[in-house]
Amino acid sequence: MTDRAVAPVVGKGVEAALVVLYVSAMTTVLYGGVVPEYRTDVGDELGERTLVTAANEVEAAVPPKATVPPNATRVERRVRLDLPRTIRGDTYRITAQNDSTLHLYHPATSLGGRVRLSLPNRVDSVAGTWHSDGETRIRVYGNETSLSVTLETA
Amino acid sequence: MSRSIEACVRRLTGRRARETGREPLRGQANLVALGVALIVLTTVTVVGVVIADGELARADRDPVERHAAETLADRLVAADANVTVRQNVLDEANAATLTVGELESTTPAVTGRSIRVRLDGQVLVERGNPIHGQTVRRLVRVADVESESRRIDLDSTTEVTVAEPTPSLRLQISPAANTTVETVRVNDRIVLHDEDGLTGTTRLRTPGARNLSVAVETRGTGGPSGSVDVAYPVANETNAVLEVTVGA
Repeated sequence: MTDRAVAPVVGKGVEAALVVLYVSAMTTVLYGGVVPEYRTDVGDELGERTLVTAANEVEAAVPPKATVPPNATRVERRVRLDLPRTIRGDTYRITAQNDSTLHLYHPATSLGGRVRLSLPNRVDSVAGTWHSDGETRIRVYGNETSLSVTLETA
Repeated sequence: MSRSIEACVRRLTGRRARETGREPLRGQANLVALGVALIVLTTVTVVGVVIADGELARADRDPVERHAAETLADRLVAADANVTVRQNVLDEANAATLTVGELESTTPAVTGRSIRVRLDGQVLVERGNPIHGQTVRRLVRVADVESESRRIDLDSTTEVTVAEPTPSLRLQISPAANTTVETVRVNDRIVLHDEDGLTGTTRLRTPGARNLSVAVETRGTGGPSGSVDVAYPVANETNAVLEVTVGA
């Protein structure tokens, strides 16, 4: 007789335990395997797109030949650039190498990348670093035949 | 006493004694339902994850390759490119002899990548096989440039009219010994003037003018003689689609 009275309690108890077990198993599987993989994939894509946007902005910041007056002694231009503050939760750096490439450095070594810039021959040097958590700017200076591009972070 | 209560309940609910054997199973019907519900939940989760995976793969746009392709396309149709006559107008002869080296020197972003450049379906230049690369298309005009020339024979005439519109003229002035060419006018405006005499080849830019009349003023003993050759480029232009594909 008491068995029958206990039966629903045990039944509900088993159901509750089963649900709890299921939820914890699902959470482990998702957060352990699936979610970090997706975060890395999205971080990769975001990093690439950020690099390409930055490259486009740098190429656009160099004034085309037609807009520089012929005997200009100085050209100076500062352009603000908006970069996403973090990729996959971490701040990152973009550095310009002297062979006209932009490198993305991210604490997670699997994220990162490079893009080549196509700048006119008037540009002599490209240098500097952007830190994603500061105010980022592009500075172009020089005269009409020799320009330098610097990546500045405030 | 409980048994009599049972009997009462049974009689009230109209159930018969035989059905009491199924009561323990009824307590576990909930478990079966729970099991089914969990299976359905798992299936839905898996389907959701698979859809998300597919969408993420489709959203991958290869931005670096696209950037290289767009930069190359912009450089090919720029006004100061080797293959163009002016902005967005390609020179047919120069385009046919395009090389990979030229592409790499104008657009460093394509170094080391597979490239294909096609004009109206014809392959102009190719390296590797950029099957899964990004493609950029531009609508351009293709100009077939030829050179025509007219001659001013100073013995008989001192001017000539060029009817076709042309962006530039090339004058070859060859006066005879007794003649000095002093002035050259185009459409009644003086473009060249030298009291000591003009000779040799000169290039003039004549943007946007039609029906140019080239007149020559001379001085000298006897009648003027010699010649002035006026050469100018004539272009037949047609529309075409320039397709630039850059792969890995």
